[in-house]
Amino acid sequence: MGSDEELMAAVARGDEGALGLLMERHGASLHGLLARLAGDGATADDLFQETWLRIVRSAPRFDPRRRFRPWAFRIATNLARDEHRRRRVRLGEGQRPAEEERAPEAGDPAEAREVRERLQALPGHLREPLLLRYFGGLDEGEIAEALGIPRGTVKSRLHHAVARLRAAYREDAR
Amino acid sequence: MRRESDAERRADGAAAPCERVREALVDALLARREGPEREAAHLADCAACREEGRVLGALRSALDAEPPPRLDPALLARVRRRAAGELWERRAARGFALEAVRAAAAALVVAVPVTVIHAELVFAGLRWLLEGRLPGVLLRALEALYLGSSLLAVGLLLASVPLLLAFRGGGGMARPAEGGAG
Repeated sequence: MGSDEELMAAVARGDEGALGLLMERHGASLHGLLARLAGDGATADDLFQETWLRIVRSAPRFDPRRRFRPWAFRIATNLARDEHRRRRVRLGEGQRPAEEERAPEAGDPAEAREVRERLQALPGHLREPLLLRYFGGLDEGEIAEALGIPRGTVKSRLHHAVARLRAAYREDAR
Repeated sequence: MRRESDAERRADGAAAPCERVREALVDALLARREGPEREAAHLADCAACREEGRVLGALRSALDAEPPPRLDPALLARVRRRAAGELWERRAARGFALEAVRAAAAALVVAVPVTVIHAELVFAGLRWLLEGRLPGVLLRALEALYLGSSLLAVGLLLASVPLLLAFRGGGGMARPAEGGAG
């Protein structure tokens, strides 16, 4: 059991066991992030597969001085962003992709549904760092690496995102 | 150093305690921690910050109310098989390249000395047969031409090694089954 970066070096040599360990460690959190970014399960599953294929294909070029987790989350976030953009083009600008308007799953608490809708309504530049921080468990430095933005920007976007959610929450409470 | 940072903290606190406390409350929410203990005294005194803490606590409960998306083990297994297929292709390609290099190196070690020795023997025969009948320059040109064409033949032979290996197909490795509909 090595570090993620050692496992990536092994993946670059073609080690399937190392790949399995990385998937065990980060599979659930990557899938969770993609499900929240994409908004629907089927798209999240496709993006999850594509993320791991990209990880494997890029393994020989992976710089072991970099951290695996933000690098992998960056791949996932970029794929989700591209997918979102493609859907917007398909549906026409101004329309929200269908998955964002999906009906709540059976048994979903109403409160959770409302928060999910509010999260989906956040602009991407605020939603991504919030999802990476709160649900992905990345720290600010890792988010900065994953999104390719300065750490200070991450902090301010996180606080803006919470402020937006909180404002909506207050409005609902009235 | 320590005294200085305490002084800074006091100065901050005097400037905007509510702002600082609310920032700490948001940080705690984002990190899924309980409220900042350091600010307990301020929270006890300030009703507005207490209310902020209550709203953020409710927001956190709402964020946590949604069950985490479930990763289907069948999906994980399918993705793992696909990714393993990619790894196999890489190993096969690397194995092929290594085999090609090994074969070329072996051929080089054997072929070049054999060619040079063979050419030397042919030159010795030529010199014995033709010395005195042909001008020396022409004789040396013939020797150079013969050696050059022999080495060219060896080079072409070496260049064909990867092709020969490619026809053998992937170094005899068996591709793993991918299965699934992914």
